Amino acid sequence: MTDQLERQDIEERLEQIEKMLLEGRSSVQRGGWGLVLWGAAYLIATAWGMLTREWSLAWSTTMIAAACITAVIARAKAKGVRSFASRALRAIWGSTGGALWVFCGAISASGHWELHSFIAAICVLVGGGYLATGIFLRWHAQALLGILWWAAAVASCLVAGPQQIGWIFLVMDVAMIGFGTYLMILESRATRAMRRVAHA
Amino acid sequence: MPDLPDLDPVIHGKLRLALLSLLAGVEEAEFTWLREKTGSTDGNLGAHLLKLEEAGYVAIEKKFVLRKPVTLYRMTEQGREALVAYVRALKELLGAVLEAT
Repeated sequence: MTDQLERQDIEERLEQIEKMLLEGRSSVQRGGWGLVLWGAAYLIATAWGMLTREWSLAWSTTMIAAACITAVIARAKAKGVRSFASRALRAIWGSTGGALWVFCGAISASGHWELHSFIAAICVLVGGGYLATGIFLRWHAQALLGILWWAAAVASCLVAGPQQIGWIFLVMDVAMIGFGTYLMILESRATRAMRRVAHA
Repeated sequence: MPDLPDLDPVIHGKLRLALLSLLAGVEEAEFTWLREKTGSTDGNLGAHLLKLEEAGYVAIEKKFVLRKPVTLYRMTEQGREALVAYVRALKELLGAVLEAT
């Protein structure tokens, strides 16, 4: 019985070390909320555009609002800890976000705007961000989401008009919100388990 | 069943083990972050962090950010070596226990 208890204690300690190490590494990587937020933002922009046909107004307003909310939440979440992973993720999404703003700004200013190629370029850039994040964090589902964005880029080049592109975006929005919600549930479970371990 | 004399008593406490393991996964962390992650009280956490600091396993840096005092904790090289040695000892013990059963 004593042997069994001591074995259990050793195993619990090893498990605790592993969980805490992972927590330290992953706490700055948690992105479920970001996927839900951006999925919802795309959904609002798509629905707004489809209903009013004011695509530029719908997308620019929603994207600026989503970027501001992301900046505020990310700052609050990263508060109190610094790691290699947080710098890497800031680099990936900072570069992707910057590329999107430069591209959208240049296209809008130049007037050389064509719906299919515009949407395809955005999908490729966003997909690249997700794929890079998925590879870095070894999250296969997020890498798959990146590939889905690239598939959406190809599909948006092939379809006839704005209505079909809107449907493609709706599918992507639902995928992002669904995956983000799933991640948030996993994150919440991990936090509860970690607190139990710390005080076991 | 082997005894546990080789296990570092500073790390052996569960909260201290949790703190050191958390710090092993990041570059530096604030007191508030560690408190949130462990769900511990200020007094308890402060006391355990002090023990880790006295053992040389954790380094503390106090600074002001926007006029607010911030305490940053960082795992030292000595702390990292101690944690590695502790894990190795645990695994050896586990091996011995499994062999005995």
